[in-house]
Amino acid sequence: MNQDTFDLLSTVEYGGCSAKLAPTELTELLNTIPLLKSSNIMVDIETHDDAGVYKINDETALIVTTDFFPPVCSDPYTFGQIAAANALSDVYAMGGTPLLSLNLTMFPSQDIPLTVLRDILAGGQDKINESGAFTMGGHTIEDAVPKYGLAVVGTVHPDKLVTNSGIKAGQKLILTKPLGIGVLIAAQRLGMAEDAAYEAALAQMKLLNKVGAECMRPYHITGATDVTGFGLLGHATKMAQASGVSIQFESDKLPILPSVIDLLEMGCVPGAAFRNLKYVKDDIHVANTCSTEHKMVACDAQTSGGLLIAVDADKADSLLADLHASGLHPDAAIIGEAIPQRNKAIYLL
Amino acid sequence: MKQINTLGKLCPAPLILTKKGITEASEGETIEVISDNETAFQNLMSYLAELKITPSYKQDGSLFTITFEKPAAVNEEVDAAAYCNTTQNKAYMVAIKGDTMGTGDDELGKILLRAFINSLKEVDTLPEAIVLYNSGVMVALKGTDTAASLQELEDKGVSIVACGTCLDYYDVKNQLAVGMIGNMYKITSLLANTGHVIYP
Repeated sequence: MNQDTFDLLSTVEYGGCSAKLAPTELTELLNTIPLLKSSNIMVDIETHDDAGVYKINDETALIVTTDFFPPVCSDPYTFGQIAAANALSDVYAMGGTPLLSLNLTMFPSQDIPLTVLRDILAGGQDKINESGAFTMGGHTIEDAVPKYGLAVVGTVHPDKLVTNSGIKAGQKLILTKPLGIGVLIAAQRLGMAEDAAYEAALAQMKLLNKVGAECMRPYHITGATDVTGFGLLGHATKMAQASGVSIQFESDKLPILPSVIDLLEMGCVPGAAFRNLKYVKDDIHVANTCSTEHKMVACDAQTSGGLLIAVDADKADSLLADLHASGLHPDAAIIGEAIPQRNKAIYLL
Repeated sequence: MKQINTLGKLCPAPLILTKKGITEASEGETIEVISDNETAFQNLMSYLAELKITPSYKQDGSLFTITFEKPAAVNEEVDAAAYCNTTQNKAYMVAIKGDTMGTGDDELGKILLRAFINSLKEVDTLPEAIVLYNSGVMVALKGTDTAASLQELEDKGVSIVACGTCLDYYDVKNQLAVGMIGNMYKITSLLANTGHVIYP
């Protein structure tokens, strides 16, 4: 066996953010464990935000977050890039800048050539370097299925913190990356994905949310999140509930990767999409006019997905234009609007 | 009868095989799907529900057998012809085009419209959707008993869509208590694609 032929996907059943524990069970379990509190903690687990935030002084707050998962693609270097981009994303979603990073690695050194491990770490470092963060070390243990990710510390000015509880009714919601990443990963495993579509999914997963976060900075954004394992509807439900608003999405405005709707029509609906739908179904109303495919793409688990940004209605077009002008987010779109709180957290029309 | 064997297969492969089988089967043909994975079985049941198919199933140890007949038009949510040709499917929607019902005295018209909306939730077959336009949006505003009835209907799965232009025109967008805000394209699509429309 050599690294040129080693297919990382041969080691896993579920990959990426699809491998997350079911949110329903996780919430119940965490509720039973008491935590210490501090007045310096600006964001903790209670609002189900992307990361924890601790205020050190009036100038600086620390953002701490971690994310790791089993392979989502065959190529080790690409997997490293994706896992690192995904882990760094939480810092960007909170308006921060990555500062320090640690590698979290599990690897079966007897079964897979160590050059594969080197490539995973090199891919990760490529994205860490792009973010400007410093790698301070890491931890590697033996495990049958490789897993890789980061623990990241970022910084943000306490007054410029962006949370998932900071949305106001009347604001527009912009999504910076197209949906359907989970569908294309599943299709690739079954040999159903077109090369161009799968390449597009890989490109989106490798793309740091750095530029997206830089674009939102001048607009004094207070509410945003990144869309990952719980899908658009899962993360938006948490955002709406934490902010005390409801959100209406327009299904025909959702940016979607090529061929994803066709794959969904063929029945290529990943298990994680059903899991996510089950988690939110009591909190959402899906219009009878919305197609099954659009509903499922809105529940599709994203790995290293885009930012979902709430912006004042009169500035939405300007922020969208900035995202498009960056050249990195051509699919960014205004996909909905926050409305005063109703019976349901999310409406998908 | 058509049998679809998904033994040993994990999601989404069983769904893909099932969808392919449904497409290939003839209308009314019995389809049997077998699975030996509980998660795949649960997802198959959810998926068939999305396709508006109500299957029966049996479990024998770790073996699941799902049985259903291929319906007339699978997953054709907006097939007006199908609605018209069957007596069983009474899919319809309601368009509330003003804040009164019928022609005559406005005060009476308002009483009638309130009674209509409040009784709609009692009928056997609920509408697929209710669209509200022009002064019809008033029935969905905070503090009205009709909004409470519309909320009950929405909780039962009826989509309520209020015209956004109308809410802006009457400057009541922030008072909307129930439903979604739709543009004219959404409203037109609903009216054009639903078998029949009731204008009270």
